[in-house]
Amino acid sequence: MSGSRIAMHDAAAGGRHRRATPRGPIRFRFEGRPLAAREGYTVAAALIANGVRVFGRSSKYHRPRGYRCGQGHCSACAMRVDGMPGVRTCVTKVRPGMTVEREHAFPNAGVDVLRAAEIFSPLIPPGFYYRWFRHSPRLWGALERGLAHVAGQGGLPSREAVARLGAARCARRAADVLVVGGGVAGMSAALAAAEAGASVLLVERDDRLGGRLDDVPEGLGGTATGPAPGGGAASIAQETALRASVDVLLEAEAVAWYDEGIVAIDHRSDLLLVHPAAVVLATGGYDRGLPFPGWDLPGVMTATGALRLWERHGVAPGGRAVVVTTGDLGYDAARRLAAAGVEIAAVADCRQAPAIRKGLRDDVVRIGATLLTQATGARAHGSRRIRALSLSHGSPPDCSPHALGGQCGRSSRVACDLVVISASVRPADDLAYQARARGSLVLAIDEGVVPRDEPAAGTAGAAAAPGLWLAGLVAGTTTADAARTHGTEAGMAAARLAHAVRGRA
Amino acid sequence: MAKTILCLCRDVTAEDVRRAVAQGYGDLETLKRFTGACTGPCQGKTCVDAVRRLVAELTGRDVEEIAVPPARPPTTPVRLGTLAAKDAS
Amino acid sequence: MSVRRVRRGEAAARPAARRVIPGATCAELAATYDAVLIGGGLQGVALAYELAKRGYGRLAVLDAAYPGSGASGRNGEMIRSAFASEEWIGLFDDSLRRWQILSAELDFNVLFTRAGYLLLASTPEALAAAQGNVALQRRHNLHVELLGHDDVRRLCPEMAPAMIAGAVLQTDAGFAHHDATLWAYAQAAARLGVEIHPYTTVTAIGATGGAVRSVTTDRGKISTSVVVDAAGGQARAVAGLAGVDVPVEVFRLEAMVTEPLAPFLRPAVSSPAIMGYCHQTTRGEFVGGTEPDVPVPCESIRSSLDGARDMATKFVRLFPRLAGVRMMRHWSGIVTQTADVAPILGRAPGIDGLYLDCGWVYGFVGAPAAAALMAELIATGRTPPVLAPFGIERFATGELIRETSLVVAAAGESVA
Repeated sequence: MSGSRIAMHDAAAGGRHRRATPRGPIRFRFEGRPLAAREGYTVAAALIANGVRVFGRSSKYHRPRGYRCGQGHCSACAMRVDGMPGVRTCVTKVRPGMTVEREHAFPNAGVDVLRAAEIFSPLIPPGFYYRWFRHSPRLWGALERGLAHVAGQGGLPSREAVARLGAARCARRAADVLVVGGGVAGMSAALAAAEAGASVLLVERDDRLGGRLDDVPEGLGGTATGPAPGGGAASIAQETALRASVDVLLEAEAVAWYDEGIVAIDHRSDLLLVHPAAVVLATGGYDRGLPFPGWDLPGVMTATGALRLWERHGVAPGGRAVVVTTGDLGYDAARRLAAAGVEIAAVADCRQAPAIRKGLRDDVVRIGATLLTQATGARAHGSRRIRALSLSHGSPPDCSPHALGGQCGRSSRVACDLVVISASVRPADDLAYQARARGSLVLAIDEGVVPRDEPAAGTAGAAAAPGLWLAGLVAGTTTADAARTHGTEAGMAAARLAHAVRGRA
Repeated sequence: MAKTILCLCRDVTAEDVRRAVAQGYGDLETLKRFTGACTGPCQGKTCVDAVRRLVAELTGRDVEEIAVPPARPPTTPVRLGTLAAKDAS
Repeated sequence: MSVRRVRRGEAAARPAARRVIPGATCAELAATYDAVLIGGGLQGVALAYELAKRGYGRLAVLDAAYPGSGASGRNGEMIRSAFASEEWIGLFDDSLRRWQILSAELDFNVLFTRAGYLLLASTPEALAAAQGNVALQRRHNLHVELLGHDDVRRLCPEMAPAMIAGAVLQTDAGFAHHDATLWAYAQAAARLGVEIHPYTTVTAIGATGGAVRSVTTDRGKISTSVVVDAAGGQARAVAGLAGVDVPVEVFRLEAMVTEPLAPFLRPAVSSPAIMGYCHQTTRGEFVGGTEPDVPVPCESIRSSLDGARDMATKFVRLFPRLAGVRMMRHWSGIVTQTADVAPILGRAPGIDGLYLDCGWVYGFVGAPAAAALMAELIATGRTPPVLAPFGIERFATGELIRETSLVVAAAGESVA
């Protein structure tokens, strides 16, 4: 690990440097080793900047796992931080004096002897225990104890860590309009609802507003519907934050929608219970994967994850990359990673004859990447991190993943230490599901059309079940422009409903 | 590294899903209970789509026909200490 | 106007010809069965298995959704027989003996883990009551130990000392895997020819001349002379189809699971002081549920904010270090509860061929014995002595069963 080449970008100097050890004022300890990090780094960024790629071991086969989604969605980067198990290091800021450890491996995740479990894996598919030991309860008892020690993540949090956590507080508050998600759609909704006279609470799980605007440039992933938003996320974010009637809570995640229309929010480990009259859900989505053999290796990450390392922290996610994509977004990721000094070996596009936006295609050709169509990841090589990727050419036109290891056409092998996966996004509609199950009328705003009048069911039962609008990625919107338009319309509609409810009360 | 891990939280492979479907766990609801896929700390955020797609392929159905298990609260794991917070009086 | 309803968690209506679990059938319903079991939960499937083992003709199990979709897949998975009354010990110790060989019997590891079952006493009074129970339990040859404060701390080092006065430990009890148990019974039953029909809703029970004649479903009418109501949360409605009133109320029980952890808790633990029960699974998750001190009848299967906060608060009280552990999900299920919290097992009054196997709160642990004994009743016409106290007649005669060691509140009163 310590011998790997690290690309570091000195953002302050604006130049491009490569060096093995990052400078930075923050000192923290990783498994006893003192490491340095810059202010504002996540724990994951700090570790990658220091050459650490293996963040832990998987639960059953003890396969190495590393930084992956960059958004706290998956659990691949979970580590023990300051005595707390299961901390998503990709969304946790590094602080002076922090202690960071890998969990769930013996003697440690770098060299894990339990990896041997995988040799026996043909014998232990899920449910193996249903077949084994059914005639020998005693043997099962012994195995069960053993399994318990091998499985599971870290131990309980340390007493000190629990003491530091202290007693959480619970607050309740009302709001005319609750906006969940501070991306373009959410910010636009909040501004529009405030403009219409509603009191607005905007909660964002990230530590900043903007959402995917940084990740999804204008005109990509769908039809370009207009000019690029001047100033992008920053200007809308600034406007949102300054608007007096919009209350913005960062690092606040809406985690559940309960009966009586209460939305539970985890705000920096305190509990906030909000009872809104109307809700705009602009929760975005989860990056889809493109599973192929070995794709769980450290060094395989989502485009969002890779770009955030560079664009938020100035940490290059790797030295030589292959981008595997199902759409134009992968080309954009390649272009932007090249700016980070990452050599882009190839872009593998599963589409047959993609109509890539011209400028984008030219950019990717200019940085020297090989463009492959009808190609996708077939197999990742490497033991503790990715060393090479086999691509298969002539993959099916529907981009179906090679989940069962099936190969079609010929394959080629490309050496790399980074594989960037850019697939579509699955709407993060969990709260909408819960709301619907609890009697709220759920409206998605798509194709630019918004219900002109508030739905009768939404208004009639509004006191108990707030009306809910979906806007942005969660409603299938793929461009920033559309997200802004639909967010605005959703915000206005939500404010109208809130006004009607308040008028009746 | 020849395994295709679909569910990273639980190390459930594509082959595991294939076998489970062949045994008769043909619904995502029962398949997740049998294989453990989608029941780990990410609660299916990263895998439910891939598992669903594979089940569709293996059972010759449209992806849309395969119901996604309910999104139970919380949508993201929350510390018990947070949920145990007392109301400010 | 573009209104798109979010579709999630909706099973397609009547998904024809596909198996949801091994053992379930895709076949059409036959015109005639010797017995129809309504409810494809653990009770119905296990009873079908036991009847088939006795060679009881052609059997059908009908479930409105998929087998195990109700309380059988939502319960606390805990197993004990150390109760405080002759009646409960009789039925549940029969069950415990079956649990201990169930994996071999069904040729499927149900993951019964003999980790011990700890009934925690948090006050000197509770400990004194437990002492009395232990004397009775020993007379029934149960493997129980009375533990003092220090013993419990050695066994459960993470438990808050203030919660511990002592405990009763049943050493050969523990927990099993609820889904595995259901699948094990379903596959064993299917091997014996039982037809388990998922997504089949019963709409009528035909009874003329004081005897069961037929069952009507959304997939057609079946003639049969034996019907068992094992419909769990819907048991009252199903019995109502035959004009029988089952005196149960429906309650919601909630449960939760944390992210997996390295082992810190060996036995299954239940605590009347917090009205809670919990254990740590082989995969490392901490699973448990609590109940409100005074339950309110509730047919909603939706998990609640109050439930989540109640569980979090109480389990942090019991295991303080859990404050820093994350809850992965919580859910709820419904149980039908009788006035004395004991199940209703036996013949339905007034209708020949209609049997009741419902009103369960401790249904998971009780299923193996109830299935075997009910099968004996149905096949031979004789009520096994262990089963006798659980008949529905007790609500008419007022001879309710008094059981004081339950970690469940009876409606309107708190049980210590």
